[in-house]
Amino acid sequence: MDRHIDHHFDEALEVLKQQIVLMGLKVEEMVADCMKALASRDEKLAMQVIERDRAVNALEVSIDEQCIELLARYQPAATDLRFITRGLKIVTDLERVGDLAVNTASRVLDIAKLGDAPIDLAQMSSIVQMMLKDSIDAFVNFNVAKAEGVLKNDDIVDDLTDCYVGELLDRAGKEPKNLNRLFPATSIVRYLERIADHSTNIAELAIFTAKGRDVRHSKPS
Amino acid sequence: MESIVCKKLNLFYGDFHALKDVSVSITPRRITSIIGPSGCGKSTLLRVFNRMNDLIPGVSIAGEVDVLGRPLLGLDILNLRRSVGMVFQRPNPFPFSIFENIAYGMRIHGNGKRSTIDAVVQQSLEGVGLWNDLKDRLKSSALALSGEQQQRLCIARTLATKPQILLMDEPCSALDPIATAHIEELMQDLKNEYTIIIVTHNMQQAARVSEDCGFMLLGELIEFGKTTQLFTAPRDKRTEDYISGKYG
Repeated sequence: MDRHIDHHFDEALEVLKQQIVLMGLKVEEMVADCMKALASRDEKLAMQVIERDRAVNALEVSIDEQCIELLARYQPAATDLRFITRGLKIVTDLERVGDLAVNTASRVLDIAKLGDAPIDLAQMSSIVQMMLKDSIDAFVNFNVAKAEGVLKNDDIVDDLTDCYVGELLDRAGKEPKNLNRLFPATSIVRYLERIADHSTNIAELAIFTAKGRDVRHSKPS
Repeated sequence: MESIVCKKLNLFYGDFHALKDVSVSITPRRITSIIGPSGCGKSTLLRVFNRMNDLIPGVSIAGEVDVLGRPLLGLDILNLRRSVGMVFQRPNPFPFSIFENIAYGMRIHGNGKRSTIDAVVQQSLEGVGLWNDLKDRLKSSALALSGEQQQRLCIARTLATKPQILLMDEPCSALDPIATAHIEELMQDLKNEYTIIIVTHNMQQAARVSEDCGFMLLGELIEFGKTTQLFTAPRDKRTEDYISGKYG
């Protein structure tokens, strides 16, 4: 990308970009560690995920402040304006992903106290984690193709959610002694689906940032 | 009917090609801004619209320009300048009284009836928000006014001849931010009755005040469209680079 005449603005934008990447990495790790903790019945790892949310919240505040400062000091236009204003929205999505990781970790603890995971969510969690990573990459690198890939995967996650929730509820009827592990697992599936939704939001914002084209709410119903 | 329509306008200062195939339509009763770096031709374009370039030796113009539905070159120049007023970068009141600054234009346009002049002076000063401040000292020298008041007076002087189009060439560049805000507010009021075209170096000003915006570079009109679109998602990379302050 061409450099700004005022190199301080370039430096400030680079810092903002790195902060968003860092926040993205932190929530990606939280989600990944939740799934590891679920699969390996690792209560300690689940507790660590919960503790890490404070750092994510602090990053949200810091990035908000940086965006506002850049708007006030440089009065950006065009791509810069879209990047900063969408950055403000994206950190809200990332913060919510952090909260959902905390919720997931809590449900993992509920399950781990009683036994092993009642279902293998590896396929779904792998798609969701990829969506999250790709959406952040698409935003910071203005990569529309990657963002569009995230949007396509959202339908797959929705189908998997229906499939897993259906299976878990079906088993709940048949295995009453496992209810205390099946219901938290259902919640985890729902949390993963919502993380995919936030990734979709980020991907839509990434397309707007790169191209100035607003694709939100444009999906045929 | 559009206020101004240009088709393939070319202007030369001798051998220098200052405007290159400029085509643009200016919508009535809106504010249109023209932005671009120094020497890009934006003031030259503005000055075409009331034939201010005619007096420059060696100027030649080709292409079509219609002002208020009539070909520019077919218009009587006095009538043209009555219909198309101009406000300049530095406030330039005549070294007369406040009253005479406004009355002068009416007199040279042949409307010298005292009662009419009195009424128009009042209307013009009211139109720019100066009447209440100045009504008791209309005989004072206009040169004693503040910069903002002088610029308002110059706008009032232009309004006195009942133009339909106001050309503004960097009208706030000599004013402080508060005075600039007052002039911008005045422009918003005036656009209900006048077509305003403003040339400005101040991109934030263009973004604030105008509905339509054009970006010029090296004599070409690179992009023209809705101001919001141009400042948030310009179509041309050269526009993007300029408004973002980037190296090309």
